[in-house]
Amino acid sequence: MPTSAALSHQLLVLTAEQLSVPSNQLVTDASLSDDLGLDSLAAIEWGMSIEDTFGISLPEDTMEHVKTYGDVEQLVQRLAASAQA
Amino acid sequence: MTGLGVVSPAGIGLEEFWKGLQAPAPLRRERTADDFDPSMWLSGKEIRHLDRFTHLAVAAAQLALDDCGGPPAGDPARAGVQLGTGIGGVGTLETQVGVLAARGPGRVSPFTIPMVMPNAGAASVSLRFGFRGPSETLTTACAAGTHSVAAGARMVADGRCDLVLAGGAESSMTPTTVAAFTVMTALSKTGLSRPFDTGRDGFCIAEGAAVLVLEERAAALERGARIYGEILGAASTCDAHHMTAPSPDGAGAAACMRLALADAELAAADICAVNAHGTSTPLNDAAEAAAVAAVFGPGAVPVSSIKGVTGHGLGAAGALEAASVLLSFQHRELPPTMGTTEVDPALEIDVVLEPRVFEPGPTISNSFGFGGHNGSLILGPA
Repeated sequence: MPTSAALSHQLLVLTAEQLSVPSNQLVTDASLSDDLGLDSLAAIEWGMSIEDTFGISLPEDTMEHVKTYGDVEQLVQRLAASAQA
Repeated sequence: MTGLGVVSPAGIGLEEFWKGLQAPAPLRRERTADDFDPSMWLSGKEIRHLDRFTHLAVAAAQLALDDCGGPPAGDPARAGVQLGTGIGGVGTLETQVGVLAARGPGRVSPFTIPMVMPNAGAASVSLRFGFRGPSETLTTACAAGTHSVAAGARMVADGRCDLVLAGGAESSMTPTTVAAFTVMTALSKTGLSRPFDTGRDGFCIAEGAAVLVLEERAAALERGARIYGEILGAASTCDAHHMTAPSPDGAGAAACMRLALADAELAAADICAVNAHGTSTPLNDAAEAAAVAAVFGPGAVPVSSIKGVTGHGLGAAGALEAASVLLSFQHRELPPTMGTTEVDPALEIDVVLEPRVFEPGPTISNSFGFGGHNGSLILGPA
C-alpha cells in the first residue's frame, strides 16, 4: 500500500502526463479549469486513470465538488485510505 | 491553387513526394507513412486525443499553408475547410472495441466519438488556424479527396470564401479493415500495385493526406502568390450499377469526365493528360481504361497512375493525385506509372511507364469510390 507521500507523488506524475502540464504547476491551489485547462472530456479520462492506478472508485458527481488540484489530491488520499481500511 | 501540403508513404513534403513518384514501386500491401512523426506537428495531448487520420490532415494543412507563405491576412469568417476521408477514425473505434470487450463500457475513452467522427480532420484544421467559415467533410469512399477539392473550389468560385484548405486524409488500416478488404478480394495478394498491368491483382492500401490552398485567382495575383495551377472544372456522378463494382463499360466514369469537360468549357481534344484513379484492381482499371478511351479516343492521351508508389490512400487519394498533377506542371513532366511493366493489351490507353516530358496543359484527374461514386477534376497550369 502506498504511503500518503508516495501516493501524492504517483498522482503528480500521472496528472502531469495525462494533462500535459509541467509538474511544478500542480500546486494545491491550482484551478483545474483555469490553471490546468481541464475540460469535461479530459476530466473523465483523468478520473479513469486515477481509478485504475489507485484501485478506487470516484463518485459520479466528483467534478461538481472539486475545484483545485489540492481538492483532487485530498479526495484521492481519503478514498485510498478507506479502501485500505 | 497557391499552396500544397503532402504526407504520403511515397514522401512527406513536395520535394520528397515528387522524388518518391519516380522511385521503384515497393513490394508492400499495407503502406504507412513511416517517416511521419506527429510530434513535429502536434502536442502530446493533441496526439493522444486525435486519430491518426487527423494527425495527417493537420500536418498536410500546415505544410500547405507554410508553402503558400502562411495564411494570407483576411477575414477568418471567409476562410473554409473541405477535407474528405473514406472511413475516418476507424482505427480508434477498433481500439475502443477492444477496450470495451476487455474492460467494460466504463473504460471506453471519452474521446472516442470526437476521434472517430469523419469530420474530426476538418474540425481540427479549422480549430488550429481559427478558420470560422464552412468546415465540411465529404465521404464518398475513394472519391472523397477529388470531391472535396471540387467542393472547396466551388466555395471560392461562389464567393463564399476567400481561402479554402481542401483535400483528403486517410489512415484506416486496421486488422479488421484489412481483413475485410482482403475477403472481398480487393487487396493485392502480391503486395505489388501495378495499375493497368496484365498481372494486376488488387490495390495496396495506404495512408496519407494532401491539402491544397485554394484562393480566388485575382486575389492570389494581387498578393503576388506563386500559383501552381487553376481548377478549370469538376464533376460528380454515380454509376447506380452495383455497391462495389464499377459499371464494366465505364459509363458512369465517362459521363463524369464529359460533365467535367463541359464545366471547364473544354473539348476532349484540349486535355493533355489523365491522372488516373488506376488502383491496380482488375475491375477498376478495365472500366476506367474503357471510359478514358471512349471520351478521348483510344490511346489519344497519356495516362499516369501514381498508385504504384503511393498505394491507394482511399479518401486521400484524389487530393494526393491533384497535388501530383500540379507538380507535373511545375516539373513539366508526367509521372511514370511505377510498378507496371506490361500494360494489359486489352486496354486501349497510352499508359505512361517512364517519366515523360510534358508541356503543361489541362489535365483531368479521376477518382472512383465504392458506392459507384465518380469524381473528375480538370486542372490547368497557372
